[in-house]
Amino acid sequence: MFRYLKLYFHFFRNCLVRELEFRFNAFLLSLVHIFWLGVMLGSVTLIFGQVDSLAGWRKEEVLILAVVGMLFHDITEMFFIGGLQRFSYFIRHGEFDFILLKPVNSRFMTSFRYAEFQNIFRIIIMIFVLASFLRGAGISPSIYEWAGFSAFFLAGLIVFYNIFFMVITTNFWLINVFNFNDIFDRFLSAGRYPVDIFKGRLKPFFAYVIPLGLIGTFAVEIFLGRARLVSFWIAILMVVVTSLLSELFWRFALKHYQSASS
Amino acid sequence: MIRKYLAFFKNQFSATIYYRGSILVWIFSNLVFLTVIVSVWLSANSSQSLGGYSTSELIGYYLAGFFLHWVVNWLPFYSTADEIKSGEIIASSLTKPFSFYWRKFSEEAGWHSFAVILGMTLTLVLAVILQQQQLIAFGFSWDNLLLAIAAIVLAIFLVFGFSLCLGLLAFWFTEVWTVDTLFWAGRNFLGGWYLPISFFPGAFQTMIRILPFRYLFSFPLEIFLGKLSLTEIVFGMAISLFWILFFSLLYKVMWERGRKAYTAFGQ
Repeated sequence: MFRYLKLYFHFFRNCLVRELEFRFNAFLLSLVHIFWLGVMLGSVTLIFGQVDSLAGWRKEEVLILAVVGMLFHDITEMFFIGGLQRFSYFIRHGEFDFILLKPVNSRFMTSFRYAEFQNIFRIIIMIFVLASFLRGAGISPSIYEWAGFSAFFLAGLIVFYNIFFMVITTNFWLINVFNFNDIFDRFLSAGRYPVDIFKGRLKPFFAYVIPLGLIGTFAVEIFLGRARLVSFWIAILMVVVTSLLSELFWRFALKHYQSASS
Repeated sequence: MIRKYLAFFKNQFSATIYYRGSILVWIFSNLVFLTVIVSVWLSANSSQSLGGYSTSELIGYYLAGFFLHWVVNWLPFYSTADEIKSGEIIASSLTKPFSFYWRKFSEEAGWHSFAVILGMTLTLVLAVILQQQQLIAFGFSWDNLLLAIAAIVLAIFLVFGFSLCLGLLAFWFTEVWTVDTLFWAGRNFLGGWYLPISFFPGAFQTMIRILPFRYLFSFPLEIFLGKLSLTEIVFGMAISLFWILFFSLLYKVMWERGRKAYTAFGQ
């Protein structure tokens, strides 16, 4: 375990150094990402210029959820999406062979070799924006509420990491599909809205199959005093089930890997 | 002459069929967006009309937008920037006797002819499903349809020229992905992909009517849904033409100067 933490630290540092080699590009990209934050919050504000509430959620509540959803998106991008996005390329170009040859767990290498830092300033800004929105809504969470929020947030990160990992594992067979991350991106964007907006048959799909509530709704509901016991059970169940399934699927896929290199 | 460009068209068409899995992924991801945004509006509690749209008109707007997304997004930015960055452009275009502009245009046409067939089929299926549930409404008229098609043709040339010019920036800056992100922010927010522009406050709307982003996406939709008067349509077409001309001239200047400023590393 300690060996992997140490290794991760070195990967992280290496990616940071590489990013800083193109400082101007990194700075410009950070500015653009902050601009995107404005676009997202602007969209929510414009929607609420026309409506009173969304599925019972008021403007200030949806704004909090939008920030939490974006925070979730940026953290996934920073810690594992960058690595997972490269997987399709590695498979198509036969570079996955080099990962298999290393004396390190191949899943770990595939997932955490690359970290992305372009969102780091936006993450910092969003923490302040979140604090400001909470204050604006008259919400001052207790330490227990923060703990509950963090637990749901972490469960969401684990679940979506596992789901995305399972999706990109299909690249062992679907070699010419290179844009699975687009789907993932859409789901993460969808998580910025309350899961209650889905009605009828869509609701079980978005609540249980793709547990969008774990991106932000369940966590924010703790702050709003609307936490549901069922959300807690969904979180635990999804963490266990997706962790097991993703690992089994990965092992199964590895056995069927045929290198693309000559 | 035409045969050269036809070859690029066919080549790209074959490549698109080879990467059909990726197209299906794009369709699915756009379907997710459509589902979410429709759910947002169906769950909205409002005492007023939604930016001048009824809920069913708004769902019609996003469904038509779902299709339009496939039709108008002629984006040579990615391949252009990559070719310049990698130096591939020397062998692929700089030393060849054809126009770079029309080569890229033919390639995009090859890509889109396949994507449009898929997108149209799916949109029609969705329209039938939503119609059966009485969730969409179109005030259909042939006049609006024909004018919208004209606006779509203009939008294709505008998106293409805009995107190509952004790609050519790689002649000077090599790494130009940041401008692409800005392009999408402008197109999605000010172009009406997230929300119709009638949701914006008055002063913003005036600015949006002058900038090119609206004419990349929402203008044909507004015509199709009968939200614009003839005067507004004519004004919009004139602005579209202005921007098409602007990006065509800009392309010529950038192409001439970029080639002279370009340095590539050999392999």
